[in-house]
Amino acid sequence: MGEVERPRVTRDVPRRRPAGRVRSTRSTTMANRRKFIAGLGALATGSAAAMGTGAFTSVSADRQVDVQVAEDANAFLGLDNSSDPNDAYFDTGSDEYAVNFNDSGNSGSGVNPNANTVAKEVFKITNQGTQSVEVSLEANNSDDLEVQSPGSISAPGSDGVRAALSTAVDQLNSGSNTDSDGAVQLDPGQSVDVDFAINSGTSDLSGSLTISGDATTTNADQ
Amino acid sequence: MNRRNFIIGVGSLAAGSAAAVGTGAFTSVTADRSVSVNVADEDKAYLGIDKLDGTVYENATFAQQNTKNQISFDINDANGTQDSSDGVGLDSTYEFDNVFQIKNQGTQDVEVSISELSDSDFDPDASGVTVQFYPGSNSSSPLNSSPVTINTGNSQNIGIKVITDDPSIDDFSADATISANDI
Repeated sequence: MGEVERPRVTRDVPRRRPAGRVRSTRSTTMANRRKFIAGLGALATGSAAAMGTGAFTSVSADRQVDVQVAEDANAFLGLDNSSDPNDAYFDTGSDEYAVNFNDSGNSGSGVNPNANTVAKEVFKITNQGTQSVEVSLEANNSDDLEVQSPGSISAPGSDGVRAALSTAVDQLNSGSNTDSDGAVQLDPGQSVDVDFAINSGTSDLSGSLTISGDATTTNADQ
Repeated sequence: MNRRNFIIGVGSLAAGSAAAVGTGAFTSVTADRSVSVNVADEDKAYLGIDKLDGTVYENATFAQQNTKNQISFDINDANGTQDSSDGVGLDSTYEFDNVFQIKNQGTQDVEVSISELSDSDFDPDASGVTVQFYPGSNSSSPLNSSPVTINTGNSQNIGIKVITDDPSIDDFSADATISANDI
């Protein structure tokens, strides 16, 4: 006989604390959003250790799940003011930010009728996670909005709005960083601005812009 | 024991994934954000184009405002001109100082230019007419070749110069392009 793993259960499940919230020691220095995730991790490892000893048939434990939705500026894929003049058109008044070409903060209340307007560097997308991500834009079922490939912003030929990732990222990353599908790779900490161009008639325009970030590698792969 | 191995395996996998997520990694994220564009009346737009006060600048009478206050110019039968006065003469240069103004109500300082109109801009068969725009009363500095800087919050009066030769047609009408580019 070799070694026998002894059934020994010192504690089936982590004891529930009075507050009902799982809190791991490593979460204390982390941002609030991460507390939830660290809590889940503790639960999973705790359960596995308990079950591995085989002393019980089943176990269930309720844990409070505390998900904090970060304001756009603080999310892993952060959206924030560009710090350039045209960020006047980026509305950060609520948690979910928006692009509004209305008040310029300088007496202007909108684009000119029957005109082409280009507004570069309205807001920036920052990779605030730990992995490289491919960032891309997509028009979300919008009649008025379309997306151009990175660095090629120009007004559409008829009434409408175009959005594109700016060329500034070319200076961030050496070499080619744009895919044929129009994505731009951002390493952790890097940002890319978003440009807009408008062909206006006499009617207001609107659309919904989908901003996507896809990890190109994961920590588990490394 | 197989069952235990299996369970331990699951436990390790779960712990591994949790650790990766806990450090702020994400596989993918998408967010929809709204984009809205307000089309302003032209005098209130980012590049405000507006009439001048006719009580101060008599030539403001040549400027008209149409849908959404878009400006146009009618060098013909304008209010305040004599009924018998129908326009510019032949082989002449007319200068109309201070007809309208351009206001920078946007977010950046800009250089403004306005295209020159001549001959075929009006009509394929036209000849003998050129129209230029210039700052205020500085008719020797046309905006098609000498852009003027307008800082945010500032405005610039614009005049119109009409140069005629012996035009082949009587009535000329065309759109001029006003361009403002950040400096």
